[in-house]
Amino acid sequence: MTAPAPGLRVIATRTLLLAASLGIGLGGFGLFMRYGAADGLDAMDWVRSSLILVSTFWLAWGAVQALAGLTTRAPRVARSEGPITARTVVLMPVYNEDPEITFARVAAIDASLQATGHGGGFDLAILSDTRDDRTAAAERQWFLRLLDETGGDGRIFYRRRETNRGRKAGNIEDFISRSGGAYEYCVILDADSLMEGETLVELVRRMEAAPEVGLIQTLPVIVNAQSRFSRIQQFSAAFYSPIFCRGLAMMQGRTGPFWGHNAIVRTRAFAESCGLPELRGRPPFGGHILSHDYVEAALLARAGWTVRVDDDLSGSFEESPENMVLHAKRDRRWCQGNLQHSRLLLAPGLRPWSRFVFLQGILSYLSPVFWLAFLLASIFAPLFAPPIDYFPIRGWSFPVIPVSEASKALLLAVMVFGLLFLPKLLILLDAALRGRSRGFGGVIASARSVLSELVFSAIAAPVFLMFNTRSVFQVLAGLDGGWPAQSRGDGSLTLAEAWAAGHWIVTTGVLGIGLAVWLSPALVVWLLPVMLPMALAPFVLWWSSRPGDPGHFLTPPETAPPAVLTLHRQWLARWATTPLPAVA
Amino acid sequence: MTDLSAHFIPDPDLSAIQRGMLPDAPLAMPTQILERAGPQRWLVALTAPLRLFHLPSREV
Repeated sequence: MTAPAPGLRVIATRTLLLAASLGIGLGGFGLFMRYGAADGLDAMDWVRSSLILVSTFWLAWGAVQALAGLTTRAPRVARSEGPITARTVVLMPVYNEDPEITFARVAAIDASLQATGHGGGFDLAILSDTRDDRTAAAERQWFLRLLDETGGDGRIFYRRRETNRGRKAGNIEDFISRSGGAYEYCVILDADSLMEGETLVELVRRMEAAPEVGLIQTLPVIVNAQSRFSRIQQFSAAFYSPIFCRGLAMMQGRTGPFWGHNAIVRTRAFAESCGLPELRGRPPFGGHILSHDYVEAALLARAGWTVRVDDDLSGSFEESPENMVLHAKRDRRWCQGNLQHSRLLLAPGLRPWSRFVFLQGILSYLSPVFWLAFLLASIFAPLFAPPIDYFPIRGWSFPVIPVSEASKALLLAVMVFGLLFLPKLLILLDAALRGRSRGFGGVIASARSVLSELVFSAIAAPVFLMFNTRSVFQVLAGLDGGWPAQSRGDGSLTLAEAWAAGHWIVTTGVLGIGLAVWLSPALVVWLLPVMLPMALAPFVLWWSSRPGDPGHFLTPPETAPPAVLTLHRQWLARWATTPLPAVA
Repeated sequence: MTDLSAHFIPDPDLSAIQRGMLPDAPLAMPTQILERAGPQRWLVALTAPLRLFHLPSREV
């Protein structure tokens, strides 16, 4: 299939947003160069200005996507009408999960599908890669109970692989190579995913109406968040992500994103296009492709299929890590996966936008390192600054006092804060004007949530900066992080656990403050908002892992619970009253 | 023939495997080519100074 070129509007949008981001980045570069030139340009000024260029460009890239997302609404897409004749399977890969909770999700999705009247066209398959034999035995017990209580024989399946070669991608590939021929479409979930039956049916209708589409990605909304941290993540995802995603969708053309779950694929297209190789060499850059979803999207686009995100679709849900440490562990895998994509930048036949998406993912993990490098360079800059020449003009005997360009630094700081905060404040204003804030508890409650989120983000960002930097250096040093099982549930950390996870960040923060006081006293005030949270990292980790106030950071699934979420809770409550005997 | 099923306890593991068996409908999923022929040494060379734990590559 020949890949059609993106439309003019898409190209223009991409060009405009990239140019704007680059312009802002160059503006930051220029401002800092003016600031550095006040006492004479030195090598460190060039280094810092270059770091500011990249970092500001990256911040601007996110900001312009949000601004773009505020300007449009999702277009109407074609959908088929009438009876659904295609067969679809909903795949739930599991890996050492609690089967009672995950299988209750399967039961809820099944019930939701049956309620649509189109349940006969859908099967559900639990694909287990569980390595722990006790958990696997429990899976088999719970599967039998699931079948007995849903009447799911012949439409709900369970398979445990003998090996987990290729991890999740290999799990899906194993299913497709054995059973994919029975289904026109596959909906790929995660173990913590939930989807409304109506949404699943709508996805099939959209695929039926667009034979050129290989994959449709939904925008999952986080649910069931308990801790302060996860409730903030849940709010951010529900409040900001639709706007950012809209901006992304404006640029996607036919090469949209795939985030690995809560998406529907055309089975034949996926099978023909997405068989992933093992890369030459050893992990972390060689071996199995860790972040397979972005690669699969690129391969579908390479083969001429359209990949798109339909950000207008509701009824798609997932869960979030309950504390910052678990988030950082998951991010470690994503960091390795994205940096591994550097091996694929020159892969044959990829669409240019696919290559850019890989680069974008790499930059998302390198950008914080550039920020840290800028901070360190600023602390050490006085060591490289040349002595001030008060008599720079030959023959002029009066001293020339250098003019302070601190205003440029201040302007740059204002610009950076603007890039960070302005999009979110504009999203708040948009939500208030369009009535979207109703689902978040109203205008006042939304404003309170946004301001609280901004404060928390400012405090948490330096901590995540250090986790991210450590991940990047671990990957570059050749350490393979693998794919550890996700920890779900409560997530509360004790102070001891928080200290164990974050004490090294304390050292960094204290060292940073000490160095600044010694080498660059004038910078201490500027650096405190970054170094102080680092010095208090264990407290930040502990505090944010505690249970959150359910009345704060309200989101639409909490103000109006979706049916499938209610079904899941009902199944869990039902099974809690009649537990299965423990596996020996 | 005498029905002996009451004397044999069904194996739940076997029951789960049998009842959960996926449809038999193979679909070929060929491995895609993502790397050009010949080793890409530029990335290896760039990151070599940082790779403290690097082990010799297994050339496929």
